[in-house]
Amino acid sequence: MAHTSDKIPEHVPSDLVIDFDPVAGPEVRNFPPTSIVGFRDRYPVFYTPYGGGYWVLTRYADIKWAFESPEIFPQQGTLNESWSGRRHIPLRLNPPEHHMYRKMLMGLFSPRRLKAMEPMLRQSARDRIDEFKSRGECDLMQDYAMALPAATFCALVGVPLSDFETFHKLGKGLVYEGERITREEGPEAGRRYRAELMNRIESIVTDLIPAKRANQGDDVISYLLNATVNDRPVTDDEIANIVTLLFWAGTDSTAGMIGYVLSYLARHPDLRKRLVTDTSLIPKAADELIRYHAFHHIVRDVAKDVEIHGVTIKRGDRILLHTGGANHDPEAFADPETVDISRKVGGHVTFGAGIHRCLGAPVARLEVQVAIDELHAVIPDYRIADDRQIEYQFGQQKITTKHVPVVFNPVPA
Amino acid sequence: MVKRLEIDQDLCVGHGNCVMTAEEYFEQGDDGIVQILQREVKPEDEELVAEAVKLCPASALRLVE
Repeated sequence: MAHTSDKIPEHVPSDLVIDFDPVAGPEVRNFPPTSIVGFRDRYPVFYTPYGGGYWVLTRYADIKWAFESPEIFPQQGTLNESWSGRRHIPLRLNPPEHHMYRKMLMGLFSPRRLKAMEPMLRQSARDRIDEFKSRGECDLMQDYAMALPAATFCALVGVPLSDFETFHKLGKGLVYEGERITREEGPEAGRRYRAELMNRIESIVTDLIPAKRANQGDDVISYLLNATVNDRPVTDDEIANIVTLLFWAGTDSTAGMIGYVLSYLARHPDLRKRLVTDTSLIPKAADELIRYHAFHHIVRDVAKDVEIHGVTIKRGDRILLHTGGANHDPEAFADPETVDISRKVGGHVTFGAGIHRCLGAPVARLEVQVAIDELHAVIPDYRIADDRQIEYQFGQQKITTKHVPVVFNPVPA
Repeated sequence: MVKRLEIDQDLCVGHGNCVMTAEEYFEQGDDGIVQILQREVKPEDEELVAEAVKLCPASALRLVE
């Protein structure tokens, strides 16, 4: 994010201004999920001048409360312009409008649909593993983790997997390239670039609608063509809007989490061996690793003046909710820096909290489980390649893994 | 007095926090909407179930006397 210290509002006490770059600062580069933990004891809330300025909450209780208070902290784009410049459904909506769209969409990722998706997910994973298993090395992010959410998205939308590359390039551009352009050329340039990409994704989706209307299937566009909101059909505009959101919200976030989880397992053979020996542990392990690796820092607008720990936050300000910081608060999870697959993780905020809590959370969890299970079935032993490192990519509101280079004993083709 | 669980299924949007918190008491149906598995809450489970009720982002759950 660009540093904008010349624009710090007057009501921000100078002793609360901290030089913390939530996207690419040194704390982030060290390990993104825990980037704010060092501030928590001293600052329950502080102000960072990066990216136009945000108040950063550091404690689980406050972050959770903020997520659950949409009347005080409405969606980005309510008072200020959202980073993508689009009013995505249902993410950018506030109550009461939000509820009916959310209710309409909840059937998309129900237990029944998840069960139906699982075989395709497993097949995608196996296909990818087949491609690299005899090499003895691969990049678990580029060669593997991307595959599952890509397959999920294409299956959801009802397009062949070969179409995914197009979406993928556009999506990466939105999150990562857009961030780079904003940093290097300024927010106007960043906004223009993102708007252009968003338009392209939306028009690809729009082009799919007539075919689905004529020939309906089990895909999300057909689902939306048959859905109603407030007793009226969903419009084509709304369909394009929603499906575009499904894309950029769901694909690289899920891939990123698979990358984080597998990079942990690459570096912790004890846990990995437990999961190989007893695959029934995978769901709980996945949930705990998902808690541990929360990597989103979510922005909200401030609609009303409010006081937090004696600090006045004013209408028009913005706040940053660091999900990793919340999940690593010892007040919420005892000994949070320890991965303990037997702990109860209910209440973690990797998927957010409140009315906008991630709709795709059940799918994401399933994809992480499948990614572990299928990989271990063929390659139970893998470690980070010597002289190589895990690399991250720094995006708007999320820092994901970019490269997870591993080596393993080659498996004959 | 044994506490009882109630749900307003119109409000439920299938977040599943309740299922994750107290899986003996809640289950998501095929359409994602939560069903209550046991209406009467055992005294030793009250704290956990109260937490699940509190965690519902849609405020669809209630614990009544």
